[in-house]
Amino acid sequence: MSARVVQLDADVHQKVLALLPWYVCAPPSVGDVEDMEERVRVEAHLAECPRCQAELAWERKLQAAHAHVDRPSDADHGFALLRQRIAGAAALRRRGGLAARLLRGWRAGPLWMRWALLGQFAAVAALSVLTLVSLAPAEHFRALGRPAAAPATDGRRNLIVRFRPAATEEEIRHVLRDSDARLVDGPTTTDAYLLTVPAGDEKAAVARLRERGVVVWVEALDGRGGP
Amino acid sequence: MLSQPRDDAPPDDLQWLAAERAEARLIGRIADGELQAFEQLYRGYHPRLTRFLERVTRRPSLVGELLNDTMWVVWNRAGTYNGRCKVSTWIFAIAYRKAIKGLSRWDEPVQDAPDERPAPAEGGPEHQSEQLHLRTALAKALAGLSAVQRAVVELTYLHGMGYREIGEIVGCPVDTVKTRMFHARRRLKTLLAGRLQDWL
Repeated sequence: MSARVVQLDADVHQKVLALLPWYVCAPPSVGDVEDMEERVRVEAHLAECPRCQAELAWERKLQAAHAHVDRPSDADHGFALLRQRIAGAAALRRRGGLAARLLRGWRAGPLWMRWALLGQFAAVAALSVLTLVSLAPAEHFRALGRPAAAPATDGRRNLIVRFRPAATEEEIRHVLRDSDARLVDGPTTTDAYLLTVPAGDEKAAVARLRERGVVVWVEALDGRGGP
Repeated sequence: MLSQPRDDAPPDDLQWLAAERAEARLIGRIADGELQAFEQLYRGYHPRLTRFLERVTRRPSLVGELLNDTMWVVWNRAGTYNGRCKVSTWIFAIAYRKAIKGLSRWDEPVQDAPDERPAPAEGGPEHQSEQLHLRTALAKALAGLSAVQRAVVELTYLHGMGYREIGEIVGCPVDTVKTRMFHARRRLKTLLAGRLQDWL
């Protein structure tokens, strides 16, 4: 506030006038001699000053106008909120306390121990990364019996074929060459082989292979060249 | 400054001293983290602080938050209370700072304070009507004062505190307290011209 400080103790009247609110409203402080002497001086002046007597009456009316019953305050709700705040802060302190203890322990330890711990952490981290990399599935792995195979790489399609048990290596080679097929895997437990043929040519390749007596059974793995 | 309590004081004063000492002990228990003691103090001060904060800020929507912010400080700083002033002085000083800080932070429209609404009826209809008019006029007159002037007025007329104690609460010399009261009274007299004489 930027109120101008008024010199209130210019004379006794002004002094008493300034003290009237507290003379009316504030009980004398226990054991405060200065306060008691002040009250005596106010009463002495009041006894002989009509203007201050009028002011005193006005003060009493103002005090009475202030005093009335307020609405009851809701301490239950307020304290419930504050209790939650206290509990939250306590939980936060506990967590902060654990971190602080760990940090203090770290700082208190000898230098060699800190380096050893750091080395261990680094080794564990490196091993974890290697393990994760080795466990990652191969990008192009696919089971032979998978019914709806993804297109083979290099724009080729997969076929699965079973040759006659008595077929010779030379017969098989001829069949593959005529069908522009490549043998990429097999034999499986059922003596089947995985072939790839140029994409878009798989139906023709299947038809050609079926014409050969050396092939017992053939079909496209994506189901589009069925038997 | 407040004087030190004497043990040879009159019976009423001894009762007052006992209450003061009980509150100081309560603060000691709160400093030890005793939630039950804190609840007791909270409930004891809730009506007084609600009234004080309502009248100083004139923003009822802020009162609950300001009151809990005040008591939050009491809970966390109880260990710093050194007994050099009354417990009530210490707590009201915190509340006053919270109120002034709150007023500077929020720019909400001034709402009608709850104490401007009709109070429980006393006396006949004419008396009730006069009381209602008087309270409305007083509330409007108080609204014309600054927050720091209202604090001095309310601590005096509502809480019966002396100017030295008010000086400790609002953090200024006693002459400044007297000056604020001087200006506040002059303003109230202008705003309430004739009304107190007519109605009381």
